[in-house]
Amino acid sequence: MAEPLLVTSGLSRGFGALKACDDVNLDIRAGEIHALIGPNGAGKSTFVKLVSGEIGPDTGSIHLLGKSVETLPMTARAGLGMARSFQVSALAPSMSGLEHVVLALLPHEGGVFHFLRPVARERELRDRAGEMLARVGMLDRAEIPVAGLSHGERRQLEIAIALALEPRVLLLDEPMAGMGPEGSARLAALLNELRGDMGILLIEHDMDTVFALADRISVMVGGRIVATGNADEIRSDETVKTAYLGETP
Amino acid sequence: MSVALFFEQLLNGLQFGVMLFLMAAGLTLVFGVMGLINLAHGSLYMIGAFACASVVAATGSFTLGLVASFVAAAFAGVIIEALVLRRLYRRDHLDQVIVTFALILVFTEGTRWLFGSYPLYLDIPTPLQGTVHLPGGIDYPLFRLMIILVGLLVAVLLFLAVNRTRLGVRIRAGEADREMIAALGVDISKLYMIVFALGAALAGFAGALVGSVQSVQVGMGEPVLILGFVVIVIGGIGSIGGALIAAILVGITDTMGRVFLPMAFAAFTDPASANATGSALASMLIYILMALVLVFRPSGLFGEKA
Amino acid sequence: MRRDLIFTLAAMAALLAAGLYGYFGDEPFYLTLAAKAAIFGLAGAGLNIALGYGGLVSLGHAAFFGIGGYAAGILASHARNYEPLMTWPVELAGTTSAPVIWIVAMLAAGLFSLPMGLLSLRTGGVYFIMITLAFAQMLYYFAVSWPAYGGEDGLSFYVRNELGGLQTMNPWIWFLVCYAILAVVLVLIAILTRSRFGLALTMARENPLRLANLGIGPKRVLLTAFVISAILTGLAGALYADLNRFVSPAMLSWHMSGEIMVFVILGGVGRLGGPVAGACVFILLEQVLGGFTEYWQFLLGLALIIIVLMGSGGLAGLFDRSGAKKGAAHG
Ligand SMILES: Nc1ncnc2c1ncn2[C@@H]1O[C@H](COP(=O)(O)OP(=O)(O)OP(=O)(O)O)[C@@H](O)[C@H]1O
Ligand SMILES: [Mg+2]
Repeated sequence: MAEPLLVTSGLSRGFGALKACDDVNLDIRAGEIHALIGPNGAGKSTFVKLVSGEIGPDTGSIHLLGKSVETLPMTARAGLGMARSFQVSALAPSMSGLEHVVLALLPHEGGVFHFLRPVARERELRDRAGEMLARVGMLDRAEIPVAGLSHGERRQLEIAIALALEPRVLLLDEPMAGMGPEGSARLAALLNELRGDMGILLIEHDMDTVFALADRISVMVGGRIVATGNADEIRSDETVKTAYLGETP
Repeated sequence: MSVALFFEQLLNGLQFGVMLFLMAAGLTLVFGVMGLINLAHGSLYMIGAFACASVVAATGSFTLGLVASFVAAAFAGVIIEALVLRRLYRRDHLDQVIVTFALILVFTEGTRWLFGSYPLYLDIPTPLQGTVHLPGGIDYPLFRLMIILVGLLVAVLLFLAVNRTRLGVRIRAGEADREMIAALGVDISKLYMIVFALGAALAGFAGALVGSVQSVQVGMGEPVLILGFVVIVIGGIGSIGGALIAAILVGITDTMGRVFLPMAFAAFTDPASANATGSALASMLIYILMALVLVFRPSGLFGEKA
Repeated sequence: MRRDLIFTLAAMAALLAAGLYGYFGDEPFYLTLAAKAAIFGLAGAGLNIALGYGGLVSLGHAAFFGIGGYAAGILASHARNYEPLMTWPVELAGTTSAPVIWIVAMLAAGLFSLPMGLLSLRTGGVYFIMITLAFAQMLYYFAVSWPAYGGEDGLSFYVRNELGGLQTMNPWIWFLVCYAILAVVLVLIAILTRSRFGLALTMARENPLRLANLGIGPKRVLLTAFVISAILTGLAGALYADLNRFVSPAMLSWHMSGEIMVFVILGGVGRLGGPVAGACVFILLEQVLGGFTEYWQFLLGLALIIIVLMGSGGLAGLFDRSGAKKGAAHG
């Protein structure tokens, strides 16, 4: 079997006395959707922050495409092919959705240090950004500043931005929260479509979605991974039942 | 260079540093607790100095003058807090900067209006005039020695107040988490006012002391304010101990640099250009120090890692 | 965007009207004031790139203003005294050619801003304010204590520098030069804010974490904006030195930094024409209030406090709201 795209080993990070992530070993293989589930406060978002480089680990290592990246800044990890969506949308209120996606395309298209050509004239870039927005169903709202978008639309935009980066590894932190049934269904279909092209880490609370989409599932409780396996294994896992599934009837 | 000169300058530097600490302590406290960057802190320093000068002129009592500096600055602090600054705690830094800059204009021009542009000089009370003999054959002005001692005493008291009293617990809680102390049932606007008045009083007191060694004049606060910022950057925001050490470091570096750098250059070049180069370099020394700290410890010597 | 353009044109038209009044009314004093407003507007437009578009609260722009001023003063004084600027490793002579001086002023300001920006951006936030203020103050004290170019007393020169065959000493001509430079710079800024870099700069201001997640380093973007900002303010400084035929450490003082910031705030932060409008109003206030009392800055301070506490967004904000009201009435 090929080397996984992303491997963490012994990854830990505490906040004061609290161990938000505790000795986490997790990998994401090419072409799979790996779901990470767990109760509120389990440490899932902390894990994403560690992997993406927003915060640094206390101990442990992160390998992305075979390279050790735990000391690299966020920008370098993004450059290696890691993209992320935020649990709480991280957008610029005054910029339109289209501008967000165009900006996300720029690192692959000659960078941002161009000062004299108006973006409005960069036809090709705008067309490609438009395609991304169409894939998440937001083309008709492309020109509206984010401040005027609904919560669900902002979630969709988060995905379009992540796609524009053409990532090898995609980390999605509760992308469907607040999207509504129609949006969630479209996103589920989109993830299915993307599955072959990249490795996806999906954090999601809705079990039906998780069991329908995920190739593998890891369960996190109190900062530790308590089980990893496919849907059937996780359904029947005793630790998971008592530690997690038991709490959510 | 004689040993006596060296120690004398060391003491001068210490005195300067201790005064800087009184400024920086207020700035750090106010920033730590309220999240406010207050450029008008230098105006409170000036107000203290003018209050002292006026009261000494009217009553002839230096002690009363010092009390007045404390009270007047605290009073001015409470007024601007209640009328203006209170509205800024939740605003961004830009609004804070521009409003407190405007306050400087108001205080500076207001003081010029009342007192004119000429510097006032304070007479040091007779019992504190003269010099003391220190070991090593140094004759040092008694009054400056007093300033060092008083400043260090205030520093110790402040340190104890912040670390050992109930008020201090609240202040530190406020620095850590603003929502939390509200949840603890502390009257937050009263706490803010006390912290602000305390910071203001320290600045006013420092203004009076420095004013009596040098002179009392309009605009005297801003150079000290900027040095206060340098101290905070070097010491790290939110650390009273860091502010004390950084203040003394800055005070000594600046004072010693001004005296000894021109002398050092005189060893290579002719006296005139040595003096020019030396003093120009000396005037930049503490900023170079600050730059070095930023390179090696961006969040200050004692600041928490970002 | 549209309103921004209209507001900018209105501010520029008002400034031109002031100049025309000075010219046709034969009031050279007004022409000098109008040139001063154009120069202050340019300094503010420079700061606005860092402050308004980049969200960097710099209290140190007097450093660049002063560097530009001293670049003009020093080059001109060397040329007039026929002393080379330096003899080693290459011999460099002074010059009285304005374009050369402008370029040197911009280069010098840009070069100084690079380490200053790098260090100030190490921690960001409130430290940025303190550190920019401190470095500008360092330069101020250096200028005061360095005797070669007048030290505390400053440096005067008797005629303005040369620009083609133009009569730069003629107030009308000099106003037009300053006005034209301001106009060109505003056009360039408008283009810049619409460019790729402008997009990245907006994101660096509003959501640096996201920008980093896109693989674009926010600090590099902000540093670039800071340097561009310094270069423009440096150019304004060179023009200001020529306007007064005098430079002194006052151009480097923290008070100057505060004033440049006031131009931006009065006019509207992050608005193209904001600094121009703000500089015009500042000079108007200086003349009107200064006519009443020598302590006019007392009143300026009060006005600023009220303006900021009301949160009006400066003149540009007022302009938007009056337009919105009209729009609502029509619709
Ligand atoms: N910056 C921080 N400082 C202190 N504690 C933190 C910080 N970030 C997270 N925590 C704590 O770490 C724990 C894990 O938080 P995290 O956000 O990773 O959980 P999560 O699994 O994503 O939860 P949710 O499902 O609610 O999103 C929580 O107890 C949280 O309070
Ligand atoms: Mg989470």
